[in-house]
Amino acid sequence: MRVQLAAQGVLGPGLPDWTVARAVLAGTAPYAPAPAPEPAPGLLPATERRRASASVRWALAVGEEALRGCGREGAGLATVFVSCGGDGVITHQICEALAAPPHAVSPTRFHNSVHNAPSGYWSIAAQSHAPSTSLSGYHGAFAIGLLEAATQATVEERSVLLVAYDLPYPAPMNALWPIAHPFAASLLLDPPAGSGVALDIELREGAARESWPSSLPGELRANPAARALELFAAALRGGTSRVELPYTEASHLAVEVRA
Amino acid sequence: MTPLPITALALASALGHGTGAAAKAMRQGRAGLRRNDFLDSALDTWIGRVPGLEEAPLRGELAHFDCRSNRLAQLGLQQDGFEAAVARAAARHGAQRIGVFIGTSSSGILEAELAFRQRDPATGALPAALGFRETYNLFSVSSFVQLRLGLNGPCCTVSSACASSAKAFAAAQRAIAAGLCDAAVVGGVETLCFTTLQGFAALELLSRLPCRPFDAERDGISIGEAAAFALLEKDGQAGAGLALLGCGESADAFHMSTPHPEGLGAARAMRAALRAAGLQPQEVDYLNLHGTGTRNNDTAENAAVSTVFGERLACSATKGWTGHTLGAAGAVEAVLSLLALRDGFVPGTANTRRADPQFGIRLALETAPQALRNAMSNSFGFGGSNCSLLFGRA
Repeated sequence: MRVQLAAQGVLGPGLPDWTVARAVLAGTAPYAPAPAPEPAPGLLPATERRRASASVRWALAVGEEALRGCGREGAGLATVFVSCGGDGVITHQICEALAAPPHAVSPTRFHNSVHNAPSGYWSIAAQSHAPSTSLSGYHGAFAIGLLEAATQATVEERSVLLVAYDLPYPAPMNALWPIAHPFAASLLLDPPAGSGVALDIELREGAARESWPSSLPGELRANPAARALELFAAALRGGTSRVELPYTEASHLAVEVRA
Repeated sequence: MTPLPITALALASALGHGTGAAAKAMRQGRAGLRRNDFLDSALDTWIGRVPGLEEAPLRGELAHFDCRSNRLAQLGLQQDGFEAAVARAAARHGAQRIGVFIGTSSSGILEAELAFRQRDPATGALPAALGFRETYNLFSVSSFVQLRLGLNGPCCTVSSACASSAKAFAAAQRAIAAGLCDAAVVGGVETLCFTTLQGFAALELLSRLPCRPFDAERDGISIGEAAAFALLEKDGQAGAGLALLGCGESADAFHMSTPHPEGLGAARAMRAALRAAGLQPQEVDYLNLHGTGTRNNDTAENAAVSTVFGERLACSATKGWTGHTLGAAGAVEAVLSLLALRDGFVPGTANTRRADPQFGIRLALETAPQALRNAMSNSFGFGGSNCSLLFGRA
């Protein structure tokens, strides 16, 4: 299955946007550790931005960066959101409230707790009535999102915006799933006729052979969304290169990247 | 799209174990709701609980996946000869050519809720028994289903609130169309939990009576739990000749927890499903409504259905039988719609006595025999996520 990568967005520690990430991945600038800047998605009105949770703001910010990168509008654009852990802060708040009297949940927190909250806020902010799918995987969450987005682009013959995000859980849940760093990435994928980097994607049996860029801190790799960086690094290398992304325990996506 | 044969179905819900139990209960007018007796919940409401899950832990190789959600998934898979049908499909196509697409909104969150009651008073730590990957994570149920069935194709959890498992059908259909797999296990699994019970209570959307969708006096939902599965097979052949004909998806882009008042997003989804199937509205004989029983949902859906279909189409809402099974509702109601097609009946709308006189749609109150050509099922969720599925014959 082939799609074209038209634009991308990045947000993570030391990687505040695509411009910086591109330089780091291309080797023209060193990776400089720094906390990620607070995302401020412009699509969301200020009141909504305050109400939206951190994971919503992270997801929307990288989605917007991809739109800016290719000068497109969000209205009418199909979207796929993928996250392994969803919104751990809200889960924590709800579980904590449920554990003690009066066992009540805040109504706003409850409707923000759905896994498709970023999709809902995005659709409202971008005024997009186009289909939007919200997915979850485990280590392979990014590959799961990529496969669904590429499948939609191929079968429905339309552009699809993929947003992958995961933020560390607060204590005590962080002990269950210790990812040290938050990360979000977006890819705007076009059907094969579009211009840009070509991605030939195939689902294969067996575990992935890792290809984490040496310029990046190793602990970032624990965040499933950060796997997008492996694709971006391959695209910047030029020519044809191959990336293997973990999908399930027993399978991986083999992606041939042609710049 | 090309009609996609559906070669096996399975269901475990408040109506009982198996599709036969559900069809029989609907024919005999026995709804599955009971007064809330879920664990120690004190809420004054009715629920659609699946009996026996408390006493049926997972055993063997996958015992570490044990939680209410995966127990329910297992119970669902064990119904209606479904696992044998998947094994036959795997022998024909290869295990790596069969996808798993499961919709859920909460997966094993109940385990996290219970674990938070047992935090270490000194450190705040959770009990070691809570497994993230195997129970609490949303992917847990898809992973469990894939491992239990011995499959190794595409696999994902779709979690778009109450449209989750309807959208799982759409994702599966696309994966088969793209050639990623030749068959797909599509399903919805959702258990009762405190987050959804207390959450809907906080939104003042829980009825204190068994829910009455589309009734003039409707006052909210009753939450249920269920596991429902369908096996989609390219070039598949089965006696009943059932098929998925079209999927339609849209986003409301209106509000996080309230549908567009005129049901614009819902109408978009229904029209998209008709377009995908290449059918005219008059070729559809039955519509399984989303029909939650809240004031807003039913008003918006009535407007949307009237716009797309006029007022002739036989409609019913089945959440009075099963409860609103949230992330599983799309798959549950797909299975009920397919049973209606297969056996030739229109399900009634349990608990509803008098359709809201302001509504124009034709609401079936009692279950009645009727030969059906094509049937649609609607699912709408928080975040303005809409999905309509159209079923008929291959």
